[in-house]
Amino acid sequence: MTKKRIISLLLILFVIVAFMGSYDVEGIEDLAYVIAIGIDKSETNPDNIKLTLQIAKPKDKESNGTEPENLSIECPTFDTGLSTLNNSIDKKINLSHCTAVIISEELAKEGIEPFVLNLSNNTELRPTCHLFISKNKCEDFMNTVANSPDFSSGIYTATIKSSLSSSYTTESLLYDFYSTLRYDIKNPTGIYVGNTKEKAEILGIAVFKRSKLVGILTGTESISHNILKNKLETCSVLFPNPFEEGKNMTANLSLAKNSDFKVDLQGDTPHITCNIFVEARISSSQTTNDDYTSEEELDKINEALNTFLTTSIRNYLYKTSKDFNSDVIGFEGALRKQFLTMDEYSSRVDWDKFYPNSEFDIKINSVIESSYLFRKH
Amino acid sequence: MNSDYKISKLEAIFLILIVMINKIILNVPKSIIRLTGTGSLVNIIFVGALALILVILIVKLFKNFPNEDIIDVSEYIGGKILKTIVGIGYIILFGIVICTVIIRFTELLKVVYFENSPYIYITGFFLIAIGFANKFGFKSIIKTNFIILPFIFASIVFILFGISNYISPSSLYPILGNNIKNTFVDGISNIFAFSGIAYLFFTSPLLKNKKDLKSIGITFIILSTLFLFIVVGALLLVFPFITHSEELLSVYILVRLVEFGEFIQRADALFIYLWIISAFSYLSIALMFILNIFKKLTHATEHTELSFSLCSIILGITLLLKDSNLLSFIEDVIYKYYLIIFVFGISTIIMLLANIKKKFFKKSPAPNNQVKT
Repeated sequence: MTKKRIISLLLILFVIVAFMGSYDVEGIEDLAYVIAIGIDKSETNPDNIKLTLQIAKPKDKESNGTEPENLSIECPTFDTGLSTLNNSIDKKINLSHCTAVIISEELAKEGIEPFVLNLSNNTELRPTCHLFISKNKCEDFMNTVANSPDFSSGIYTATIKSSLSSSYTTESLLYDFYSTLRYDIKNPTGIYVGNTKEKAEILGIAVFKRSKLVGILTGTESISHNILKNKLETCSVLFPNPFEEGKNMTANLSLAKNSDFKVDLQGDTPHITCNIFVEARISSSQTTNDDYTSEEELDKINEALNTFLTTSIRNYLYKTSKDFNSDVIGFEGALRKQFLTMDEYSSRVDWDKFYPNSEFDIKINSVIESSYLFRKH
Repeated sequence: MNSDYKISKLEAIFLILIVMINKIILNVPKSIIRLTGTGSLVNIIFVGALALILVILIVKLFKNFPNEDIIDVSEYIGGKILKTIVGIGYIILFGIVICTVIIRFTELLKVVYFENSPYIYITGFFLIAIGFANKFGFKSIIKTNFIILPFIFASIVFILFGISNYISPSSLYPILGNNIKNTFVDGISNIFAFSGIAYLFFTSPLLKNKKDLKSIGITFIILSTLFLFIVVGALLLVFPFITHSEELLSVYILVRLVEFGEFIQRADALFIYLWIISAFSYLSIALMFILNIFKKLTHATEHTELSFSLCSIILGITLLLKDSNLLSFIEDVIYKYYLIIFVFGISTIIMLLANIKKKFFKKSPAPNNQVKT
């Protein structure tokens, strides 16, 4: 029995010793944590890319927090660039805390599938990493972010959270982008960003047709996008005041319940009915003496809001279908529900060809929930 | 088994369910989806019903042989030759299971955590553990499995909660997949997902109460169908691209999405830890069955002493099968059809013949009463 115990102990020790080396070889002080990856077109070689990594370095011992360092290199692929940059610094680059992948608009127009596949296959990188499309060069954008007085290692996540709360963009996760590239039920989108010398900001949504960027949605169009995608948290919209021409009112919108769609195929033309359910609170008006207690007045406001939302959403839908030919909402999924088998669906439908012919019927079901603290001014 | 320990109903259900759970963690949901696409959910209900019929039949056939397993029954109808053939058949089956599970987990650990560790270290780690488990014997394996399984179950439920934000219902359509033939005819081969049925052929003599075999079989099929349905559904809802792609472990890719606010992120390590324990339990059970069959074939008295020798052979085989194309071929073609033909087909026929023999040739002694020479 004792002999057996000694053998067991030796075996356990052997395993512990064998794995100990690989366990502690990389301490936190040995790693350079990347918080954002930027991919631009190369300025010198059309086959190459310019890779920029933004690393969060701990500040000196006296002050807390982190400071950014941007490293750039021209390389043929992401992995070769990463290896070369790894070689050029005294720490090992680690992608496990990266929250943003930024790709330049110029490159996105040519197609970003190889980069997305490459990054999605990386086990260090989180699948929930955000995908940005930069109007300017990624390197410039990342430099502006790095020079921001509010810089912290969580700057990208914080910016997205703030922007999502106003619905001026939509979430775009790396795994979701990869999934939509591989499966043709909807087209992917990215977070569209830009910068001036002083400021980096979120500008809207980048719309893709498979892996190629085909258009941009502005902040207000993003609200329509989020309503249809059931991703609207809350937002403020400015709509015409029904009581005084030329004046506006502001309503705070949220979804009362998820929007639903019905796709009816007539010949080659999809007739898409969108039922949208929103709740609104009137927050401000450019006029005085507004009364939100009277049912009659609320009905008028409701009607004005419905007209405004119907027009906005219809414009958004025709822009994505006619101009971009990109079904970013996933109406094709609603159509597939009507077919029992894929063979039957494929023999009847060529969605890429049909979608630009789509006709939309928008039904807004809005409820005005009075206002906030004052119901009568 | 060399132990007189008899297992309870719940222990028996857990013993068979650990097989299913490991198959779900490994790429069985992916194999189902690859074949039947968006029709996988309907297909699972269909093959689940077929598996239920098969299990009820097997249980009925074992009614006349409550103290025998498939090896004893083979000897009863075909003598030592059939006993040896069937015994070797099952050793090969459980051997394939052990090798493929170890290779898949080793691959995962190498890709995710131990990129620089030699392959043989990780494989060896698994084999040492299951070798020791079998040295400690049948009772300890069953009891350990009884403790582990609820945690593994809980981990899968936890994953489903964790990914609920990412689901997209429209990716389940068209509900019947590519076509009806594909879902209901070609898709019958997805019955291989219920590989736990193979262990049911050995369960009856291990039970405290032999009458429990029916409820064990039915509970196993219902729970397995439910879990397969949920996991395949989750994969289709979150990763619709999975019908078109090839990946390491689909459930692991699902786990990478699990985040609970800012506090719990990258929880994949916790799941992998639980899965490794679950794999240990599953592999120990498979090795235990191999040793038991070996004992029956050779009449070896100290068969557990062979556990490390068998582990060494398995180590050699796993090193030979590292090629991922070869491994996929073994899993998707050889194992799948071998299981269907040998376990669901030949073993059931043997049981049928044994029942016929018992009914029409009542003078034939029951297998355990035969004189052993």
